[in-house]
Amino acid sequence: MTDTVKNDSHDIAGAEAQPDSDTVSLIIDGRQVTAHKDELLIEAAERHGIFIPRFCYHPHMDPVGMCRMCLVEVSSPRGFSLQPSCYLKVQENMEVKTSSEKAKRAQEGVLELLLINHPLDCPVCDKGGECPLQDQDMSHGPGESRFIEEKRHFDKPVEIGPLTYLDRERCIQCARCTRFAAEIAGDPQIDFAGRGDQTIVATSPTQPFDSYFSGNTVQICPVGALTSKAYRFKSRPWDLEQAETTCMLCSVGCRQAAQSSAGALVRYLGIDDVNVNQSWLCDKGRYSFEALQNGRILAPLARHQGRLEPVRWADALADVTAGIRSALSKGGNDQIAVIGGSKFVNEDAYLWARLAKGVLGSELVDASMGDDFNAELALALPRATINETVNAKTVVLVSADPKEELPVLYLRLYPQLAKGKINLIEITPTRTSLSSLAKARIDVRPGELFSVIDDLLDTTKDTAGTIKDALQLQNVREMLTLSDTGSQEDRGQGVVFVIGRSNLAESPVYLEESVKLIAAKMAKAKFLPALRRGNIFGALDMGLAPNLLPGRVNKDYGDIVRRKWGTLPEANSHGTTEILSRCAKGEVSVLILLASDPLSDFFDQSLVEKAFENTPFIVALASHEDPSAMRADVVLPICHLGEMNGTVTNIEGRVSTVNQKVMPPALARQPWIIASDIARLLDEPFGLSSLEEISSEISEIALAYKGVSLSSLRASSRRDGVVVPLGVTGVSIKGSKRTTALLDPIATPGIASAEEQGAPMKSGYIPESFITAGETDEAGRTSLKERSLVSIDTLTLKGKQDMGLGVMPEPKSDKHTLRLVLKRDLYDMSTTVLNSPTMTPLVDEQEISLSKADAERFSLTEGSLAKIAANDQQIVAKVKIDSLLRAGVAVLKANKEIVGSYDAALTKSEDDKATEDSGDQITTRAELLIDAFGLVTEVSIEPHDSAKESR
Amino acid sequence: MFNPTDPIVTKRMSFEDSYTLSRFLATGGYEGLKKALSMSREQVQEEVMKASLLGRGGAGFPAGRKWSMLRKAPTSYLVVNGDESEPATFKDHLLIEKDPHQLIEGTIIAAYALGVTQAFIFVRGEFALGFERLTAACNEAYAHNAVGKNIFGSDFSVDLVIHPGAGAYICGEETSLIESLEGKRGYPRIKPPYFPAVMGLYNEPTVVNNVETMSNLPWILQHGGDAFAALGQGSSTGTRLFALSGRVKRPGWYELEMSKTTFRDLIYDKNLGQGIIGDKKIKAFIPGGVSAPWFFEEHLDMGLDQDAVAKAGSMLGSGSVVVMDETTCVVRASWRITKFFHRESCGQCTPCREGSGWLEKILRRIEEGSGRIEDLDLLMDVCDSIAPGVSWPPQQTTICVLGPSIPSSIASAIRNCRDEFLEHIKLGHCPFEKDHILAGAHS
Repeated sequence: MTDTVKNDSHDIAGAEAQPDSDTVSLIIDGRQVTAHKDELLIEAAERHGIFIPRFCYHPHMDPVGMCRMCLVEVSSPRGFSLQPSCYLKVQENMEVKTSSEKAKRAQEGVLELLLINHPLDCPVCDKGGECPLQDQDMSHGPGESRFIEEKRHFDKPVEIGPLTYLDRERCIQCARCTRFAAEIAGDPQIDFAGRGDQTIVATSPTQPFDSYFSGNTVQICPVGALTSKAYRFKSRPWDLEQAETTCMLCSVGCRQAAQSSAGALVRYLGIDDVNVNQSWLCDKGRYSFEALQNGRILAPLARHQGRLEPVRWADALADVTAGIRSALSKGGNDQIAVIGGSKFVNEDAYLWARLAKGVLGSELVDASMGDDFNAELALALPRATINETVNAKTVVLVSADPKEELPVLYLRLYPQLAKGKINLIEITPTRTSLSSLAKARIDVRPGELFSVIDDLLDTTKDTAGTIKDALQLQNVREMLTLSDTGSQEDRGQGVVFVIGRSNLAESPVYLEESVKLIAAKMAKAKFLPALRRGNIFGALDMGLAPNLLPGRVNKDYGDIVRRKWGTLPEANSHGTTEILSRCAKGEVSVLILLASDPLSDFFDQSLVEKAFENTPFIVALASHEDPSAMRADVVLPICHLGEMNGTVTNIEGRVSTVNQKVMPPALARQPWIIASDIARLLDEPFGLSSLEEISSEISEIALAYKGVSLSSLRASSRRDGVVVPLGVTGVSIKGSKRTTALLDPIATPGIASAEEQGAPMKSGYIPESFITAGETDEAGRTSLKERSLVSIDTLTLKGKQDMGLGVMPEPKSDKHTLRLVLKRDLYDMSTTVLNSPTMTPLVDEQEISLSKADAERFSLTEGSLAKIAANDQQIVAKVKIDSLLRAGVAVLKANKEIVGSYDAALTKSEDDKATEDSGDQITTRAELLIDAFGLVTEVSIEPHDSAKESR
Repeated sequence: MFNPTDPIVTKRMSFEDSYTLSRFLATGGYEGLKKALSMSREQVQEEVMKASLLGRGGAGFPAGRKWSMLRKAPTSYLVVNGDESEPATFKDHLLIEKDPHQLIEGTIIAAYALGVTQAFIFVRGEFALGFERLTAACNEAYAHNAVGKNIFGSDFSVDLVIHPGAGAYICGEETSLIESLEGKRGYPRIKPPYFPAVMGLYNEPTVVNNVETMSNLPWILQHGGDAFAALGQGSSTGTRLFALSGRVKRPGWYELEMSKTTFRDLIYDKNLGQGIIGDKKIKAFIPGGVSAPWFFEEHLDMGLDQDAVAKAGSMLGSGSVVVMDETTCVVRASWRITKFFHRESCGQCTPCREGSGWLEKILRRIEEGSGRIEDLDLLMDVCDSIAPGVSWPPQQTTICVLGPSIPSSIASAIRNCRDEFLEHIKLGHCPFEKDHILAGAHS
């Protein structure tokens, strides 16, 4: 194997900028140094190893110069004067003294003043031991205090939000938290109140600090003023052990430090990876460590006389193998189905793909759970990185709300949008958290996406059918580079489409065909496929998807894989919906769930129910007691993030490592071991006995993963991963800050900043340099261009007619029919949230959003209960009137069982109960209403108590 | 030669209805504006340059030069600073309340000279009557076509907004005022990059001028810059409105020719301050607002001249003179002043936010009898943390000059009246009667 990643020689040397017009030369503490033009003095000094103390400065926020800790002496025409290095930009020939007598006196003065009102409760403070105030007082402080007056007092601690406590006496008014909330998260729920030394961080009396990103303020608080409910008093910093890892709760793949104390995971901190999360995490990811301790499956379980009971691993695996053998003996490859795998690391996913496709010969394999769109298409599109997206000229959102599904992508987009640096166009059925910042917004009725895109891209039309406003159309086309008279080939230059499913109640076919149209008409456009699930891109790249094989190739180019695996399924394979449908028809003998929970997590609940009822043998690999696992016949306990090693691939194709920090429950295993055991028991052993061996096999046969292995990624200079496929020249790394410093996310955000990586190759193409000698297939073809990755050209561009748009059902004549939008929010009833006690209360109620006109039409008022029916099913939900929602659309949330205040309303009296018992069972689960094969879901609505009245 | 019976900015003060449009018009109102509109912008700027009108807000920067520094841009603004909040300063208060049209006229002249089409007057929140009268005057001026579209038939149009502050001293600092005007918390902005002439209101170039500065413009336009410059001497031209308070028999406002009058005249002249109450001995006086270092008996014969006062280590600042006599406790006086700064510190910069509170607590402790000898060095050292060197003009460690203003009174008191501090410490209580500290400061 050739490791083409070469960067070790760069590192710090690469930080030394060469003198040119973009650099300036200055003297810091007697040393001649070069800095980037417009670089802040504090940053330039830091790159050259000179640390200037600071509190309010943060590398990812605009400077405010509030704490005055970073005062240094700077030359000026009138001699040296004290200047704050956090907002002063470097200038040619500037001379700076960071530790002269005068500078030291100023720094000591500021520290003494910061401490006069700061309580001396370090021994009981969470921050004690990792506290920038404590640390910098030791390094830059005067040593002792001369303050003998009474300190300032405030009530404490104050619960400012559901996850956060504030101790106002410890606060040093640096404004990091308030700036983060306002500038980065766009949730300005905390701000300063009061004046002078009575200034406090405060919330509005009616609006708690319930931002999805509140935990970041705890991490960046330079004192112990902000503490998190989940970590408060859990550990002392010096008791913590730390491993760098990657979050797997969504596909953004935030780099984080997993910290444990006494063998238990107690905290995640964001790592400053400049490419991905820039030190931020969402609260769901940050506090998900709690889930390791709750609801775990501790031993293999097998169903005996209808009950799941603990069994030995050998017995459980024997049951599984027997089930598989019996299924295989029935003949055909459609007897065994495998769904899930997006929570697996790449190595697990690879081995399970090899087991399913190579050993079991099954074509029923899918990790996507039906809520994504065609995996081949997703991988074939020219992919944008996250940095390319947030620095694009125009971003087009044709996806769900990133704040709900890919929170840190939202966090990267928001500041850029708020500063007006990028144009945002929204083409979504409902408003998102970014709508107010969008330059244009096209409201798409469910089922009309393709028509809208078609109208938009057809520049021969002045006003399009679906877009009535000619001026808006012109503006949008301008932002999309479509109105240029320039060449067709340049169309889409600087445009990034974020594409995903904004509506689970609508067939993905509209999105898929729209995307193909965009790709065909806008040659330079790039795409960020907003597939949400943790390591879904790793799972797809490893072949846990219909028609795909490891390395981002499809079956047409499967020779390399076939040589290794020996056999591949012949027929075309199918997605989760088709798999479940076959199960429901009784056509599948064994259903294997790879850490997936379709009962909670599939958008057509009736179909899953039928599938479970009609599949004789269900095997679940699960870390937690989720509803689906509890319905299985054999349950195999597996490790959770934090307990396992491997690599993962994020939304932009960045491969990074996850690392084990704590021991899994005694009998839990990492999934690859289970796959390996099953293969061995079926007498087709893989001959792979470690993650490293699997990893080398991946880099050997998975084309897109050439040159990337677990061991190469573990090198210190590559800790933040590389985007695959690697470029021709390998990875260009510059400005590394990571290698010299110990990772300390709290003390020094930015110092822990990761390498910047050169732009990755466009996806869909493998550079010639990856052809290694002897790698010819049976046909003797050696050009990899011929066996390129899945390419957009190989996917048929269907026309409007082929899509069946002509037969798309028109709304029923019944005036009570609305088209349903089913969307997710961050805190749904997922295994993670339900097993994390501090997050569980954040799951909010099901509610149906209706336009004012529709609510009036159905005599529904805000907060009343509505009965919603579709496809012979009905549910109940509380009504929310959304004045910005278009008429004719109803919005429900996915994965919401009855919770919260109207739990009581639903079961308020015995009388009501009796009524309900006699009729249908009451539920709020919107997934019941959806038919997975329908194009759109149309619902009818009436007030909940109308049935009672008619009684 | 200046004739006190024919003053520049206070000529209407004796009229009961001085704030009405009718009185204003009857006394030459809007004639300066009409004259300005008949001239070119450059000519108006030239007149103001010739007048060498110093800014009356406190820093004393020449208005004409400030105007010339405005970055050329399609949009720029004029903001008039009427947030006068410094203790013992009450000149703008008078001008806003008693002669609002004069202020508006001056503002429109400046707007014309600068070519801005939107001007603002930011009025201290506590000036309820002043705000009411200024707003009414603004409406009258619109009706009279002195403000608005095609003023007096010319092709010049400007809109004027009267904006009330929310009660913070810090909003008198120009960048903080701009933040407040934008609807934000009154925090001074960091410089660079937020120099108002480059990035001011709504990030556009902005001139911020004081109320008294604006009020001088109608006269300058009517009588010419040279006539204005003929008054006073050196760089201190024209007249200034002084606010006299403290232990004097006749506190109040006095419009005086600059340089030509001395502090002794102001305090003792029979037409002015009329001397110390009870004919006591003067101990100290503040020459230009509580931010300024104190002066003592030896400075009494100095003229009311910006350069002379600066050379002697203080400033004419906002033109408020506070007199302390031998019955005044300097510990209590500096504590009182420090308490003001403590309460008004915006809280952004650590040295000012924390230092002001610490200094106040120490001074209070000394005044209440629990002082220690080492507290004197400590006070000076904490001052040094806020303004390194405790010199004048101060060096600063903070974003704005509020912080470096805090040491002025403390350093003046300790350096010149150290014995009084020692006496407090030795006695364990204040040796003075306590009923008239800075009495008259707010009269």
